[in-house]
Amino acid sequence: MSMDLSKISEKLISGDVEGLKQMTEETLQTDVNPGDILNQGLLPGMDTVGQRWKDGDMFMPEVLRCAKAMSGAMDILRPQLAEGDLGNAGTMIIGTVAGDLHDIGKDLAAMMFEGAGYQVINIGIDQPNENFVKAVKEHKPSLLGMSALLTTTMPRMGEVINSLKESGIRDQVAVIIGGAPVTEEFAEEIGADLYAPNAGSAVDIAKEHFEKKST
Amino acid sequence: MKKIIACGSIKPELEKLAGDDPRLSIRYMPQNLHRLPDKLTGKLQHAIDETGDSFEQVVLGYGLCSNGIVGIRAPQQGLYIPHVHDCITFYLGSREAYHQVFSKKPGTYHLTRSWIDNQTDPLGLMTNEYTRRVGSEMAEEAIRTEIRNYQYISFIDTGRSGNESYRDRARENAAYFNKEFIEYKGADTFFRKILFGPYQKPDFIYISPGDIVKQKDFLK
Repeated sequence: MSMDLSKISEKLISGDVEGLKQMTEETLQTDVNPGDILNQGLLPGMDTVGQRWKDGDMFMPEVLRCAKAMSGAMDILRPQLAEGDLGNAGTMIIGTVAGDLHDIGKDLAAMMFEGAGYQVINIGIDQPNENFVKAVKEHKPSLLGMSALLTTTMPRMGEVINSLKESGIRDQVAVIIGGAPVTEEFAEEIGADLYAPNAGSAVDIAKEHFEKKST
Repeated sequence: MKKIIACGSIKPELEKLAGDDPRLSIRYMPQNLHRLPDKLTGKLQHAIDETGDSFEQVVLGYGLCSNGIVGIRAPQQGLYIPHVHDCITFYLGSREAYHQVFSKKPGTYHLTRSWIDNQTDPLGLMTNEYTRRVGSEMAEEAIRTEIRNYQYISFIDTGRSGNESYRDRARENAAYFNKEFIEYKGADTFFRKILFGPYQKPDFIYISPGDIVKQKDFLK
């Protein structure tokens, strides 16, 4: 049965926390794949939320209400996703750089990568450069995500990449970065592999990267 | 004569120092545009383009401000911009003071009189803009989420008369959101530099005529 999953996106974008939970449950009762609910409903919805925020058409409290709705839907979806075939996309380390205490976007991204089948190790906020390197050495992830919300702390992301190089492990991991002040140009400049303009698009961007790599 | 294009939030501080100095022509932009960086860029460029060629120098009373000035093209006189991330440096008086405050207590929500006047303190945001947008319950949840990792709420006292009630409001914010209240003594050193110079490194960045402001200019 095919179902129009854009309704899920719309419900999410409208920030209807209870409504989205109900719709997610109802959709699961049909034979729609839980992975499709995530990939074709929730993630595109959050991508739109991220874009609208950037464009100034949506403000922080609305974005946070959408994030809450997303989180509620994920609670319902998570056990189903774990049972499915999505459980082994790889390991991801994610954290916010030193001097930066912001984690709303980072945690949203973590939740979405988890939903997409990554084993996510969230090392938290205000993480010194060496902790990123240590985590990469220890867990050998395929993906390292870094977030910074301040222009004062952004440069730490470049420093972590340099530390990875110095440790000889830069090639082992793809680096994805994001956060409100972060730009694609900055990502290129510091040598990150990937730039995510918002949490909703991050999973797709990573997926595309690995697909390209494997062909 | 010199043209200064500044954020409305620092108007009281600049006006006090500028007096009616005939060498200065100051234009104030609506404050809070940094919350919509894309709009700030357009409005600021418009103001710069309107300046014309009768001024010897053009100076911005803005910092990087959430990338709000990235992409701006300097006029034919070139453009002097304070080498700061945001206006907190202005209030604290110097880049060094900002660096110290930021590295010692990164989890601080700084409040100034203008921010409070403009209801962009956490309590102001919650009871006004946020409640209007999402209702009171979600408004409170949203603001609490936003500042959940902050440990302090500060008031930067620039010594203006009548600051008592603003200090009280900052304290009220701290108490309501269970943060520790701290106070910093502000200084007018940087405001003075915006008006009178010297427009030198490292306090100012100079953008040559026709060149574009880049984020990386500020990350050095």
